[in-house]
Amino acid sequence: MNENIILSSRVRLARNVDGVPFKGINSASIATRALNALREQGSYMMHSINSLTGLEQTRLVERHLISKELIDCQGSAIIRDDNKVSVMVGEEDHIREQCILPGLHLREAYAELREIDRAIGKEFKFAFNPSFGYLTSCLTNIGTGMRASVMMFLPALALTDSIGRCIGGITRLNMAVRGVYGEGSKAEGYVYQISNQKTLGISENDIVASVENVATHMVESELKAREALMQVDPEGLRDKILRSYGIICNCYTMSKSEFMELIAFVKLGVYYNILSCSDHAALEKIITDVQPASLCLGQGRRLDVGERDKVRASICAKIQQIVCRIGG
Amino acid sequence: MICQRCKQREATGYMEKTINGLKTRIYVCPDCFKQAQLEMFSSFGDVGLFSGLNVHGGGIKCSKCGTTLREISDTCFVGCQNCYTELSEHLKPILRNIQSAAMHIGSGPNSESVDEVAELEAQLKKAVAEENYELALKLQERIRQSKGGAR
Ligand SMILES: [Zn+2]
Ligand SMILES: [Zn+2]
Repeated sequence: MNENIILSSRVRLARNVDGVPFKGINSASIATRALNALREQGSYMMHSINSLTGLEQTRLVERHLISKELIDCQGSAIIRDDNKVSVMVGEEDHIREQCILPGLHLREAYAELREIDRAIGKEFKFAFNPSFGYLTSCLTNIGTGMRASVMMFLPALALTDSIGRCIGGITRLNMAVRGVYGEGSKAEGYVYQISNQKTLGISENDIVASVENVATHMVESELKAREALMQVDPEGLRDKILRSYGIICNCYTMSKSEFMELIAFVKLGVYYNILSCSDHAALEKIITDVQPASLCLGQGRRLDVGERDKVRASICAKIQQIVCRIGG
Repeated sequence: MICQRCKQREATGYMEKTINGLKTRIYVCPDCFKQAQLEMFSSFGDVGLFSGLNVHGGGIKCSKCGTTLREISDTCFVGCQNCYTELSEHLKPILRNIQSAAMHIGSGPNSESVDEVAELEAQLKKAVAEENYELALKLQERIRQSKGGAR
């Protein structure tokens, strides 16, 4: 049942080329060399940000393959064709390698990323110093240069108002928590990202273990909260879930924030066996497909908000093909 | 975590504020920190530096890029690689504050410690058990290389 709570695991390594200034690099030339180095590691494509349209750039952000900062820096991205591995060149650090896998698979993501890092490390001499480790432009990444994170779906903790307390606890463990979707402090769709803050004086394996540990604890807390939520008001919850399912499949226009709220309850419904889902991956894919840029590109053109909301509603109508109601 | 001031950007450090006689930590993003510093001069005091300590010799500069220790302490960004070698002793207290450590203990380029070989072997066992032979082959090759002392 972890899959319903831990959506994905991501490991990122920050690297810089020895002797090259942190800022003002020629990202295209570094990216070309990195791409060459990865030739034997799989099938990769290189994109320089300024050769992509605004929509294409944003879609890469929506798919968690690049950061918004890479767009600001006009860097380059190297992306493996399965969308699990990407290398950003010319962001805050020269090179940022990342591997993202569905579910709780931080160890596997790190194992895979090590191969990528090794291959790129053969092409470049990384800035490294025995006492400070991998040198990065920001002191918050120095040492291992590693950020391990999990994306978690925590609706029950949020709905029972326990999320604040949990976040407080996690922060004391040197972990950072943020909402993945939406602006400001509200985490749209109840999706949170938990990551390590400490990168120095801790080994890569210990970072992975500590994030894994926190994630596992969060899963337990979320499960308890889901139980509590059902006990407090079973009929109200069932009604809210079925109502959300009804609306998501049957409306004419739907904003992104309304969608994020409704889909959360549909997923909760699947968890409680009020709804059944025949294809979890397809359901998760709809969430990325209805994000603004992905949605426009799916239609092949830029759409204004009103048009987007209509297209979103029509995509959501397909949810009834993979999710159906169980019993009464 | 999210910055407690603008509630938008990610917090990368904290300030200490005394509110009603209680010392409180406020987690902030670099932008808000800068803003708070400006305000500090006009309003109530007792706001610590970004990295939570008063830097002695904040005016010391990196001879290559000119970034001062105070700038590094305020923003958490160094100017160039040379900052790490030249200001190394001064950076340690700052690092102890933001990372609660000043010494790297993870892996390095092309290093495969004894520990890691053990870890690789554990991963190999798991990969075989899960019939992930592609990964198993890769791991086997790595273990062979490491043990052969090729590095
Ligand atoms: Zn802020
Ligand atoms: Zn410097």
